[in-house]
Amino acid sequence: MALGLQPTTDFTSLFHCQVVVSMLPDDDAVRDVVFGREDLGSRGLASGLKPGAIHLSMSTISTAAASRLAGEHARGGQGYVAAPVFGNPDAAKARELFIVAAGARTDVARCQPLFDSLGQRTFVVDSDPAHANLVKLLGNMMTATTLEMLGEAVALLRKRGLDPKSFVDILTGTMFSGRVHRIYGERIVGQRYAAGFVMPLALKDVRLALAEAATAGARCHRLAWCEIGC
Amino acid sequence: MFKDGSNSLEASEATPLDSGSNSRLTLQDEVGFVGLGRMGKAMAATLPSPDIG
Repeated sequence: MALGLQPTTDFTSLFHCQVVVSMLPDDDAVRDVVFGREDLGSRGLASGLKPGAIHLSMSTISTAAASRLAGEHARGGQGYVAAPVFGNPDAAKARELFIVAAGARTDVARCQPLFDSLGQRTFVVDSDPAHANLVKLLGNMMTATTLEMLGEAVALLRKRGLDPKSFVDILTGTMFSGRVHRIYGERIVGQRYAAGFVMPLALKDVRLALAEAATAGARCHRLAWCEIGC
Repeated sequence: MFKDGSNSLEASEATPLDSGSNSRLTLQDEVGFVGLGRMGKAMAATLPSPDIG
């Protein structure tokens, strides 16, 4: 706040900005921000930002939406950089997010100081914004399926009267030492299910990943089971 | 306009940025932010950073 953040509910006050960052829950919300809402008489960023400005879109959205948004901004001579993140709100507060970026090289380079401010590391995929969203959705797909499997394994161990903590310690100390297994394995064993990521948003990502799989003609059976489990 | 009415919209404008379209952002440029939910709020709090520039 020291540098003068000014809260507002008026989008038009953002139209002069060189970069507008968005972090919104789903495709519809980002679409409304970019295209505006005629029924509400609100203009969107695509019609309001100046040529040369950049929309830095950090939401987890579908690749189809990303492509549509990029196209709309391109018509206005604006840049569109997709940069979804891995990490929860606590990681965001601590500036420890992992950022996956894609867009025109010069636009991504312009945004680098923002990435450096928001996260601990940035991965640049390529020049197609949709590809960053695909990477993010597949990452969330892997998280969802991992949680499903961890939950099933712990449930099985409990049914057999065994200590699931030892199991998770062994697995995370040997073959499964990644962040998802370590962080969520501990939570599942401790039965601490406080929401870091609320279920409707998790389900949204599972469904978006399933849609990507269908578009690509890829089979993701485990993910389909996750949707049923949700 | 937004799907989740329980979350307040965070729309903010932060610090000015330089106008050079090919250059990196600087403290003379302006950055706007539109966010919703816990992630939106958390990120809004970290945006106006002295690291930019």
